[in-house]
Amino acid sequence: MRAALIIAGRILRQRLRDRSAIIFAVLTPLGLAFAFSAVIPDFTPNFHTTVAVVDEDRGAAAQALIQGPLDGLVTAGIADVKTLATEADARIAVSADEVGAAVIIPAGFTEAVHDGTLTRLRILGGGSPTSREVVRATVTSFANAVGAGQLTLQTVVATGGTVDATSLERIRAALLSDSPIAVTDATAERRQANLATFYGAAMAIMFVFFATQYGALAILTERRVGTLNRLLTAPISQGSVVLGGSIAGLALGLLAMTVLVVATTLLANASWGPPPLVGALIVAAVIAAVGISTLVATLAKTVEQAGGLNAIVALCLSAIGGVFIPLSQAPEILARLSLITPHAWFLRAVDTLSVPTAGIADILPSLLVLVGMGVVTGGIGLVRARGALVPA
Amino acid sequence: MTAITTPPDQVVPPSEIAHEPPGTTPGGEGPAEAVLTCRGLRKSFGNRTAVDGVGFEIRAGETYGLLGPNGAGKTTTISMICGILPADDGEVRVAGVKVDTGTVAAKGAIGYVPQDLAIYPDLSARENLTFFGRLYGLRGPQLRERIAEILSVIDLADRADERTERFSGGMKRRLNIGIGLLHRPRLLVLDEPTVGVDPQSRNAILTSVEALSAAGMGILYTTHYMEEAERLCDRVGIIDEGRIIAEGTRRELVALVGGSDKVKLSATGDLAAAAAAARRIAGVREATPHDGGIDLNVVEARRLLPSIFAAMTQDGVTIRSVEVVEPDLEAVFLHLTGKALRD
Repeated sequence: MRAALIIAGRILRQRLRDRSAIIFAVLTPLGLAFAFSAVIPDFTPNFHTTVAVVDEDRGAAAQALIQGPLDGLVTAGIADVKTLATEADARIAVSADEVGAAVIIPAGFTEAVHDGTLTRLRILGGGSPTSREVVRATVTSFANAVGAGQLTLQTVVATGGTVDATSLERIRAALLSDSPIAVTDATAERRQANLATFYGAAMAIMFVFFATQYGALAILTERRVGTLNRLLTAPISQGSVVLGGSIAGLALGLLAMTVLVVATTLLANASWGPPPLVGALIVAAVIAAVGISTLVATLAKTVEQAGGLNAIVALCLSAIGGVFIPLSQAPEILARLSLITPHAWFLRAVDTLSVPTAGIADILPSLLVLVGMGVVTGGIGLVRARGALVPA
Repeated sequence: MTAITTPPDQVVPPSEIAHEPPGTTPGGEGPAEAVLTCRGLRKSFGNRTAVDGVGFEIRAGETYGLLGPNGAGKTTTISMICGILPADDGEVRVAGVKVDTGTVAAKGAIGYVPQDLAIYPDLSARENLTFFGRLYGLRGPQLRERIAEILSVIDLADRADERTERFSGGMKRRLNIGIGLLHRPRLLVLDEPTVGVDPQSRNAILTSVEALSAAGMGILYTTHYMEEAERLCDRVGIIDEGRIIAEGTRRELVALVGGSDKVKLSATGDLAAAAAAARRIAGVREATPHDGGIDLNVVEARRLLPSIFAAMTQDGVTIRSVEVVEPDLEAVFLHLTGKALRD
């Protein structure tokens, strides 16, 4: 490990000295993030949609959803709510773009809520991904609140307590109060900050691949300079040579992303979320980038080839992963395809962290996927890189 | 290029300094310990066998030359000895410890100077030495002192903090060798260190190698320059097509092909009588008088020259000049392989 750190230290010194890492990994994404957030107008203030509701249940829980969260959208001026009789009507309305999305409340919904059994609210999305996302978020919020209420009641009963009518009404009121009014609290100023956050995050995840490549290219660079054989004759394990590059890539990636987060927070009013969670997210994203860069570098024979290939991979993953077009605005197929990229998982977690109440559990799937991507691709890359140490 | 003058105590610990004939222990009590032993080394790349059963031994203070044309298997052999390349078969031991690509400890006894420059151009000479020194476990004051010594030895002390990309070719070569010496190796492996070097720098490198050998270091020197091998090496292994086809001192190798020295004497007097007198000396195979002198074919001319001179001057001949042409390794190589060394 000591040898790997010595090698990593030398790579860092060289890259920071020639300023290439600073330019590619910090200054360029920072400049682009500022430019995008300043030039591209925020579309959210003008957003308005129509949401259809099909109430096949006609029970208290269905009314709680309609009068609570969905009416909250109306109050906030985000949407009009239109009642339709059947799911078939809703499908026709969605297909004809008469409504942006539809919520189907199935028969027996209220009974299922009361019994604590599984039930399913269905959302029909139309041509507007944003409408679908707004409705999905609203209904998900309601479902979570119902789940919390059920858990409360079950806990009271399980511990020998009783629930009187007054308590039930309080719980119901609490459910109703958990409406998207919280969404409408997001002022225009707050939404502008989110735009800065989005572009800061988008540029950070795209350019972190350019930062980590300096570590991933280490073996090819050593071979070109002629120092690889000298390293291999030193009293260090061959794995140290490979690991040293990965550590350098990790350090450069962390440096680049941290600078971007701090700079966009201080200078562009970006709102990244709780620092410990943002830190965890950055580490996970850099691990993914190091892994992928390491694997990509092993597919090339020269530094130039590897650099070009890495750039192509970084740009393709960025395009698929929602860096250039927010996934909420993207077609469904792209939204699904994006899940193969670390970029989408990173941006999704950044979105999640913009909610003030977000915790580690909310971004845990993203963290696990990012680290998993890094470990799998990096593991394959390290094995391949070690094999490439032997001269042909 | 300034010669790398290497005071013994700056290269190896005093305990390792040997002033006795190469390959013997200080005090002449017996053979010095083997710093390198390799046996039966084999390496193939696909269907091509690059090294086929190579084996030899180098003792402390001995310079062993691996002489062969380009593509003979010298660099592949060195790569296996240094643990860069895994051998298909065979064994390498440095200072008694087995070496392979996974070895860590034994590699600390090897100093490797590759044929191509192996330095970081965007680091200074001092930073290059610091980096490699730390990889070899040197640190703190010990590392700083050792770097100062090496910078002095390779005559780069005044340019130590300059990036090496600004160095001349000769300066880079000196640093390349200096890095290999930094950790006081017991075995120094020099892979064609004079290829592409100007004559002045080349001579300085050869002088340095002689000094290091005199200081007790075991040296493996590969070259395809016959004159370098003759000048530096106590023993030479001639390698061709992956095999060592002959090994020994220069004299032993020449004897293998039955070689004798040619002596050209410029003389006046009764040359026919002088030639006849010379022919009576054991070891003189032929003596032919001609206008202005006598040509002789002699086994070990340097040893017999006094006897030849004495015999001739007794017959009243005056010797004006003498030229001795000894059979060289080029001739040996030609004899053994049927091709020239530089083919």
